[in-house]
Order: sequence, then structure tokens, then C-alpha cells
Amino acid sequence: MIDPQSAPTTDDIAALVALAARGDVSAFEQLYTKCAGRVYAVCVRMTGDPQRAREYTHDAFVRAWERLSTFRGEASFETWMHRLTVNVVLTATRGERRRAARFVATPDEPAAETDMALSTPAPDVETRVDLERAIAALPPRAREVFVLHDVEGYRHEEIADRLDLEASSVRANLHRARRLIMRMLTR
Amino acid sequence: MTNHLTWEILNDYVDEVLTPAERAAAEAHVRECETCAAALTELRATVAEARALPATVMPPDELWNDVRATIESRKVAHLPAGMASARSHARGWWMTPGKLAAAAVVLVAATASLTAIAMNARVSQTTVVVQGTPSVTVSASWLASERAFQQNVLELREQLEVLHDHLSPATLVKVERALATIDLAIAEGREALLRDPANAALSELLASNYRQKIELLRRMTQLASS
Repeated sequence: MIDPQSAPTTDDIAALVALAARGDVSAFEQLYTKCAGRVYAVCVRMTGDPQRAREYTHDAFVRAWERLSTFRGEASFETWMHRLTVNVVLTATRGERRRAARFVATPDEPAAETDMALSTPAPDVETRVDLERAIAALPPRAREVFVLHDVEGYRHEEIADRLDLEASSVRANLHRARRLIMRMLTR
Repeated sequence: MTNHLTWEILNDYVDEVLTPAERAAAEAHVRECETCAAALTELRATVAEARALPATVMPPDELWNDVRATIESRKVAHLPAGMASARSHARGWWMTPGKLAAAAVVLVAATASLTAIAMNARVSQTTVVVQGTPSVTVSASWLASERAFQQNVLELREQLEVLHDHLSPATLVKVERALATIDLAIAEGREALLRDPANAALSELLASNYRQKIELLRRMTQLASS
């Protein structure tokens, strides 16, 4: 019996994964309990939207449930879950951008975004925006790059690969994100 | 000092992606230039704050219930009793039409023994034997109703599969969640009817859930094709 109140060991996690892969929902609930905060944090920071973060967190765990049999244990379950979550978010946001692009220019077009965002006056010094809110207010692409690099610790090359961008574009988005955040934080 | 470091150089310096020569030049400049030194300090502080953000943000409490409802409903919808070993081959409800058809056939065959018991006790009875399940006496008319229902669902899902790209991911998630809720209600209704086959209210409730599922799929198909 695995005590859900104590931190599961690696062996516990492996046992839970094995049980869940055989259809044990209670075992999967324990995995959910262990990872939900981490998964939701990635989702809410990458989307800047609690409702979408909730949906993507839901989707990530449902997808994990469906793919548990592919988990080989080469990385930790949390790492596997984290990568799966990033994939869920990026796939969804990519689809949203494609749909948006059918009707209007994407808000991530560099020129338009830079002109608009950087010309916005800095917020009142009296109303400092905290970092989480500043991240949420970033343009979508800049937010994704900032979260993956500065919060999650991905390297430029990894981000370029995941987002299907040139490394130079990753750097440009990251620099823009930092500038905007510092401005929102009135730095 | 007038030629300050560019924003790009400052960022690349913080990220340690400058070449050794570029890095040495930047360091030399920062030692002499208060403006760039201050900018560098602020930038480093921002990056450090981001890296120090909490690793976890707790989701809404009820989210696990939604996740559980979805995975339970998929077990119900795609893995009827006795088919649990096939779980690893199951997918979401956006299956290929061929797999959907196969799933529907399996579902009809394996769950008929449960669903047919209570829905129409007044009509003629027939005995159905499904391999791997006990033989039970079921309503022939309900078997036909069940097949019609499944066929209807199958056709609507095939249409939605084709129109998939016309709906936003957010809408698809909501539809899937609603379907999961209905599927769960259907599964619970079946179980309740199995325990109480003569309960007309339960029969009507189950039929209502079936109708609700069809209606939802129909509305989404119309929305996607409009």
C-alpha cells in the first residue's frame, strides 16, 4: 500500500505507473496528485489564462493516461509528464495561431507586436505588476519562449526545436519578453 | 561613455552565449559604464526572479474529478467489460472511422446484456449470448434501439472527424468534456438499471442521456459545418 501522504519514492512511482497502465485509476490519481501542481504551473504560465491552463492540464493528464504504456522510465515520470504537457500546450496554441491566421495577421508578427507593445507607456510606478501577472500579459510567442527559457530552464536550441523557430527568433522573442516584463515591473 | 552595450549583447551576456572575445569586451565595458552596469544588474534580477518562481501552482480542486470522468468514460465507451487488456490500444474519441466502427460493434455486443434488460420490459424477450459474458434475457427492440443509437453516434463522430479543424481546440475540449460527462451518466444509468430493471424512471433517465449525447454531437456537427 502506498501512502499518499508521504513523498513517493522512485520505486513507488514506478509501481504507481505500472498499476495505472493496467487501468488502476486510484494509482493514476496518486500520480496526478504528485504532478498536478507542476503541470498546471507550466500551463498557466505558458498560456497566461487560467481557463485554458485548466483545459490543457486536463488534456495533459488524459493523454498521459492513454500513453502510460509508452512510459519506459528512462526519465523520471515528472520529466516525462512535463514534456508531454509542453507538447500539449504548444500543439494547442499552434492550432489556435493557424486558425487566427486565416482571418487576421497573427499578433506574433514581430513588427506589429514590437511597435504596439513597446510603445505602450510603462504602468504607473505605484502599481507594480507582479512577475506572474507580467508574464501573463506578454504576447503569446514571447511568453512561451520566456517561460520555457527563464522559468523552465530550456536552452535556446531546445526551444527553437520545440517551437519550430530559428534560434535567432527565439533569442529575439526572449529579449523582447524580458524588456516588456521589466517595463511592466517598472524597472 | 556613449556607445552602450546593446540590449541583445546584455541578454546574451546574462545567458552566457557570447563568444569569449565578446564576453571579455562586454565585461570591460561594464566595468567602465555605470549605465550598462545598472542595466545588467536589473536584467539579472529579472531573470533570477523568473527562475525563482514556485515550481508548482495548484490547479482548481475539482480538476481531478474532470480528469477522472474523462478517463472513466473512455474506459466505458471504448473498453467494455472483459476488454481491459486492450486499454493500451485505446485512443480518445477522435478515432479513425474504422476504429470507431470496431469500437462501436464491440460496445454494442459486450454491453447489450446490461443495457437491454430494463428499457422495454413489455416487448418480446430474446436470449442473447455474448462470448465471455453470461447469457441474459434482453429486449429485442432495445437491442435494435441500442444499435441505432450507436450507429447514429458513429456517423456523427465521423462527420465531426472530417470537420475537426473547423472547431477551436477550446471548443473541442469542452465538447469532449461534455461527452465524457454524458458517457459517465450513461454508464451509471446502466449500472443502476441492472440493479433495478423495473425502474421506469431510471429507464427514462438513461434514454434521456442517450438523446442528450446524440443532440450534442448533432449540434457540434452543425456548428463545425456552418
